[in-house]
Formats: sequence, C-alpha cells, structure tokens
Amino acid sequence: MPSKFIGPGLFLCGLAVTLSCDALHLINPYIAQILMYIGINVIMTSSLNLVNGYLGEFSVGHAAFMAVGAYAAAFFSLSIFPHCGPLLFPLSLLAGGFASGIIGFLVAIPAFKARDDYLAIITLALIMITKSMFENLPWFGGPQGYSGIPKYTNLSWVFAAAVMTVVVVRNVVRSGFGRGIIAVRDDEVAATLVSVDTRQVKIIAFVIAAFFAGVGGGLFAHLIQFINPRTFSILKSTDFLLMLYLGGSATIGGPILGAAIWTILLEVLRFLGVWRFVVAPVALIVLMVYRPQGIMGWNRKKRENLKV
Amino acid sequence: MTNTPQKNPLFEITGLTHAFGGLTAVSDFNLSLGAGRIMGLIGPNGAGKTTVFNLITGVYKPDGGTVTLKGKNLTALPSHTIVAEGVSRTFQNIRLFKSMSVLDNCLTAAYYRLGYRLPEALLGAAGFRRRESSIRASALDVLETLGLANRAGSLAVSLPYGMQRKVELARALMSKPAVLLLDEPGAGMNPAELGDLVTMIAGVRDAFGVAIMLIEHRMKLVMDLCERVTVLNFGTTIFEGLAADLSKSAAVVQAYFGEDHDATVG
Amino acid sequence: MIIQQALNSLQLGSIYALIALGYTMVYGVLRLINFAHGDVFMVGAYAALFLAVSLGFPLIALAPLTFVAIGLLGIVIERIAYKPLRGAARVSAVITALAVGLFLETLMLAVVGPEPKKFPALITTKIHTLGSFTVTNVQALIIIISVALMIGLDLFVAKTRTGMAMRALSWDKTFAPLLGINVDRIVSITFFIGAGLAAMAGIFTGLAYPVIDPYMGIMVGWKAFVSAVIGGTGSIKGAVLGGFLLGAVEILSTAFLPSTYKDMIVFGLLLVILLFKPQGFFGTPAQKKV
Repeated sequence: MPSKFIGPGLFLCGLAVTLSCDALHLINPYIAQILMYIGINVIMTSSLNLVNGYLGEFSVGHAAFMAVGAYAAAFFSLSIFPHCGPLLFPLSLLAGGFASGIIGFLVAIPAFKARDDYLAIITLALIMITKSMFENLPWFGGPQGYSGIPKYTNLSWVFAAAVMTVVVVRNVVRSGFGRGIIAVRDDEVAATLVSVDTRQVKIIAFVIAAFFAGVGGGLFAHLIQFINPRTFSILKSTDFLLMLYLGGSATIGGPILGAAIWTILLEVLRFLGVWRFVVAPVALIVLMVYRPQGIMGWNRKKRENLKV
Repeated sequence: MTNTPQKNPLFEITGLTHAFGGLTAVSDFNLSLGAGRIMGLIGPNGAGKTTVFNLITGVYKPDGGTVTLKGKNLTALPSHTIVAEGVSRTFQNIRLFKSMSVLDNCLTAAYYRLGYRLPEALLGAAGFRRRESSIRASALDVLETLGLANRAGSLAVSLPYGMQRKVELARALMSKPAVLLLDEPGAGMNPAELGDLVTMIAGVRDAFGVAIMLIEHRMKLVMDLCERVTVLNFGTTIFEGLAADLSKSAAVVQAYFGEDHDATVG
Repeated sequence: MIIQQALNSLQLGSIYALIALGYTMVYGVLRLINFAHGDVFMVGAYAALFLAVSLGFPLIALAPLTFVAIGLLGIVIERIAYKPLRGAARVSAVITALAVGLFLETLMLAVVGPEPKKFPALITTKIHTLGSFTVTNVQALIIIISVALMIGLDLFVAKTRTGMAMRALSWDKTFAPLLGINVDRIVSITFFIGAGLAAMAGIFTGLAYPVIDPYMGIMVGWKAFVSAVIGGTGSIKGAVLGGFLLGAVEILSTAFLPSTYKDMIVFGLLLVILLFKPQGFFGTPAQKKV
C-alpha cells in the first residue's frame, strides 16, 4: 500500500468510528464531551502554535479569535440559517473561521513592527476591545450573550476539524512559507536579506491561526450552547498558552499532547473543586522554570543576547 | 583585465549618501561593477563599509544616491525584493537560522522563487511537491559545489566556525545573485583557512558568474582576490582604483597609519 | 464641572500611576513586564481588608503594614518565579509572569470566593463643597498621599545610592555588577517598592470605590500597565504621566459616553499611541543594528 494512502486511510477509519459513535450513541455522553473538549483544544492549541511557536511571536489574543469565531458561527446558525438544521453547520463554522481570519489579518499589521512584550500588549488590547465590542453591539446579545445555540457539534465534526487543523499547520510548516515563518522567528533581519517577505509571512501565520481558532470557537459555541463576552477572557488565552508550552511549542505533536493531557488533568482534578484552577498556573510556572521546552520540545535554551 | 569602467556595468552605485542623526556615515559613494569582477571595500573600523552594504540591501533607506542592477533601480525597494532581484550578502557576525539545518537554511533563501502559492502548499498538491523537490535539488547542488553536501542535515549552528561561513555563503548563493556582497568573510580565520577561502571565493565567481564586493581587513585576501579597491575613511572615498596602486596612495597611508608615517602599505 | 472631573481624574489617575510605577521600575531593572503586578495590587486590597475587618486595624497602622507585607510578597514572587528565568528566553519569563498573576487570582478566588466584598469605610467621609464642585476628604487624602509617594520615589531614585544603582542597572545590565552593584539586592528592593506602592493603590481603591473582587487586578492592573506603556516603560515620570492621562481619559469618557464603552476607548487609545509612538512618551526608541 503506497505510503501516501496511509494518512487519508487512517483519517477515514477514524471518521467511521466517530460517525458510528455519534449515530449509535456508543460512548458515554460524559466521555464524549471530554473527547470533544480535547479535540477543540487541539484545534486551538495547534493554531496558536503557528503564531507563538513557529513564528515565535507572543500573542495572548487567541481567545479573541475564538470569540469572534464563536459569535459569528452562532450568529449564522441562529439568525441566518435557523431552520436549516445541522446540514449547514459547516457553513457556520466556515463563517466563524473567515470572520476570525479577518481579525487575524488586522492583528498581523501591528505585528510587522512590534515584537515580544509589545505584541503581548497589542493582542491583550485586542481581547479587551473584542469583549467590549460584543458587550456593546446590539446584534450580538449584549452582555447576556447568545443562548440556545443548537448543539450541532459532535465527535465527527470535532475529529474532522482537528485533523484538518493539524494537517494544514503541518503542511504550512513544511513548505517554503513555513521556512519563512521560522526564519523570521530565528532572525528577522537575516530573513529579509534572504528574500523572505516578512510581512507576507506574518500575515499567513496570523490569518491561518485565527481561521482555525475561529472554527474551534464555532465548534465550542455549538457544544456548550451558550456564550457571553466573559467566556473568552485572558484566562482562556492563558489556558491555550499552557497547553502549548506543556506539550512543546514549535512541534506538531506538542499541541496535541498538551491539549489532551491538560484537558484530562482538569477533569481528573474536578474533586478539588475551585482549587483545580490554582493548579493550572502553578503547573505552568514549574514547567517554565524546569522544562520550558515542554514535553516534546527539543533542548534549546535560548540565551538572552548580552551585547549592548 | 581592464581598469576602465564598462559602458553598461552590471551593477552601479552613484552618489550614495546617508547620515544617522547628525553624523554622516556614508558620503557620495560610487561604484561600477561588471559581471565576474571582484572588488574590495576597505578602510579603518567605523569607516562606513558595512553601512554601504546595509544601504545597498535596503536595511537603511539612503538619504541620497541610486543603486542600479542591470539597469533596474533598486534604491527604494524593500530588502526582500532587492535580494530577489539579485543582490545577496553575508554578514560580519554569522547570521544563520539557529533552529534550522544547513539544507533548510539554504532552502529558505529560495522564498522568492517557490513557484507555488499557499493553497497548493496547504493541500500538499502534486505541483507543490514537484517544486519542493526541484528547489531541494538546486540547494544540494550549491552545497555540493561548496563541499557541504554531506552536512546538509546537520544543525547549521552546530558546525565549526569556518563551515558556518561556508553555509552562509551557500545560502546567499541560493537566491541566484548577480552581485554578492561579502562582509569580512575572512574574520576569525587562520592563514591556512584564508588560503582556502581565496580559492573558494574565486571558485564561486567562476562557477556562478557573480560579481563580488568584498569588505575585508585581511590585506592578503584583498590583494589576492580584488582587481579594484575602494578605500573609505569616515564615510568618504579616499581612494578608488587598482589594488596594485593602493600602497602608492598617500591618503590611504595616512588613513591607516597616521600623519607622520612614511611607510608603505602591503 | 471641569474641576469636578479633574478631581475625579486625579483620584483615579493616582491609583493607576502608583501601580504603573511598579511595572515601569521592574521593566527598567529587568526588562521584564511583570504581568502579575495587577494581581499583586488586588492581593494588597484584600490584605488591607483582612487587617481592617478581622484584626480591626485603623488606617494609620494598616497602610504601612500592608505596604511591607505586600512588598515582601513581591520579593518572594521574584525569587521563586522570576529569578530562575533571568537568562532564559523572553517568552518563558513572560509566560511565567502571566502564570503568577493567574495563580494569585485563582488562589484568591478559592480562598475568598468570587463575590465582591465591601471594603470598610476606614475614614468617615466628609464632603467639602467649594463653589460648584465637591471634594471629599477621601479624595484629598488619596491624591495628596499618592503625589507624596511619587515625589518620594523620584527623590529616592535620584538621590540615594540604591536609587542610583537601580538606574545604573536599567541602563546596562552587564556592567552594573562589575561596579560592585549587588544585582539581586537591587532587584529585590525594586520589587519591594513596586509591590508596596501597588498595595497602597489597593487600599486607596478600597477607600474610593468600596467594592473589591478577585478579578479587579485584571482590569485595573492592565490599565495601569497601559499607563506605563503610554508613558514609556522604564520611565518613572512616564508612568506618572501615563497614569494621570489614563485616569482623565477614563473619567471623561464615562462622563460623555455610556460606561460600557470606556474599556474600548482606553484600549483603543493604547493601540493608537503604540502605533505612532511605540516607545511611549518618555521611553527610548529601539535601535536596529545589523
């Protein structure tokens, strides 16, 4: 069997499994929900990896992309296709993705000049402004948000979207555009001097990341069926950062591992009640101090440039 | 090997001028370079040599003057376009991409000629894969010419210093330059390595047909390789002509050795 | 009317400025944005609340006690979370800072619960009417003490040896130790002062806007951070200017627009300023070196 059929083959098998689980209710709904959360987190973390891992920027705005996608998708399902049922769900997701992609493009522009701390500030401002926007604009339910979003998300959609996200991110990274992205991270000036168009590269990274974050947001909205501006706070962005750095940034498997481990860990720690949320940042601090490259990252401790 | 400037030189710089704040870094720099020629840019530290390179490659936008390649005005263009047009450089302090292999460092320089668009890459289409193979093959060719083919998969920054300089050279050649700017390629090398370097640079000129502009402090390198030399001091050109005539120029001697010295250079 | 708004702006601005000072000093000395600083401010407010309510301390004793206690918290945070990362990649340090802030938030949430708590009125409010505007003694106290603290800090940095060491460290991290400066000690002092000032801001917030909750560090903290950036991170004068500017913007926008827009305006302003003057008003622009 030629090797190029293995990937698609596995995917189709997986899809067959999820479709049967969905149709025949083969899995305990609680476990199914956890699996769907893992899948959504994989999408969010893999997409974040493109900007924070491969491009090496520091964006804390991922929750804003998720929010835009969630709201756009919900808006489509509730207002534009209210009676079309789950068949047009992928359109809602695409709408979420595109809406988010546009915001991603807008964020890429300040990223042309700003780096590190400054980009963190800018992306933070983005979250605040997005939250404020959804609170104030009348068409999006105001501070109460949207409720009664139909539950279209199921294992199959999540699985398909997650696989697509990981594959697309991998394909970007392996292409000339991916090399450009990594070059910009390693040495932006040198990158321009070997013909890399750094603006183009940043746009690509941010837009693709935002697009999939938007899709993840759409899936999320149609799973929990209720969203409001406070759902997508900086705390949510920090969650994704944690999953990314836990698994190992700038690797393909890292986000998957990080998302899976973290989601399961939070469930397992449910007995701690509200204290389980204290564990999260402590774990992140320990991680940063002792193994900043995460589980799958290779040993690459950058030393800060001491030259004046 | 004539010393008269050609009628329509490959690469031409006229009146290049730039100041940082109140300090003039480069003043009225001129150059005329033909294909296959090697010229040297020398001068005391801080004379403005690297600044000239930075101005040519668009790192800074010159306050005045023009840079022309094959008749095309490169002066106001962004760096990545200038490189795509055919002007490549290496750096005084090696600037390889730290997380990439030797091969990937080279492949990155083919960004302007990927030959596929993003959607094709995202889908892993056949056209994309063909182009990637072809770019890979061209990179391996260049590495082969420089004797680096067997280190293609190594992490670029893990190689010994001399080899890293070669990788940087290979990377610069990947963008198929017409003009190659080398910034102190001999820095940190011992005399044996310098000899190899001379052979390699001449070899690169022969194999790739590039015109080369060389900043150097090691006079042996300059005298062995360069036909013509320009000497900068405090941003102004104090000498422009044959390398052989260098030692006869009083201005050059004064710049390097001070007012009262009457020794000759070289 | 204008004077009224000015007074309100000064009060709010003082609080932002005090917190912004902590951000800017740490950035000056370590080139690190201490994202946890806003939450230190929040903990300061709660600490003061605890001292006032459970132990019945009056304001005069409570203020210095809280200053010292939270100052020590600042030192502890630095030693545990930031010191180990001093040589590491910038990204790691930033994430750790975020994580510390998150830790403080979730900890307070777990300990005191999410419901806002009322800050006791430690001073009986006395309203003085002067012509067309009113000023309360609380407002006056906050503004006066804040300004006194800012002047005190400025003098400290300009005239004392420690202050000089702080400035030396902010200009050149590599050579300062060679001049005999104990980097660890100076960094600890910087964190102590910054955290202490934030704690004072916490007390003032409790006095002026008597409801506190574990999430207030996020909003107030980030806005103070914006102030520091607008003024130019690393510049003390900048932090003060930025704080008062932001206070004014916020008060004025609430005066003329529905209050839900104020966050949008504040952060929108930040973006605009960053686009045109990325180093803030008093910061130094970054030089590109090839």
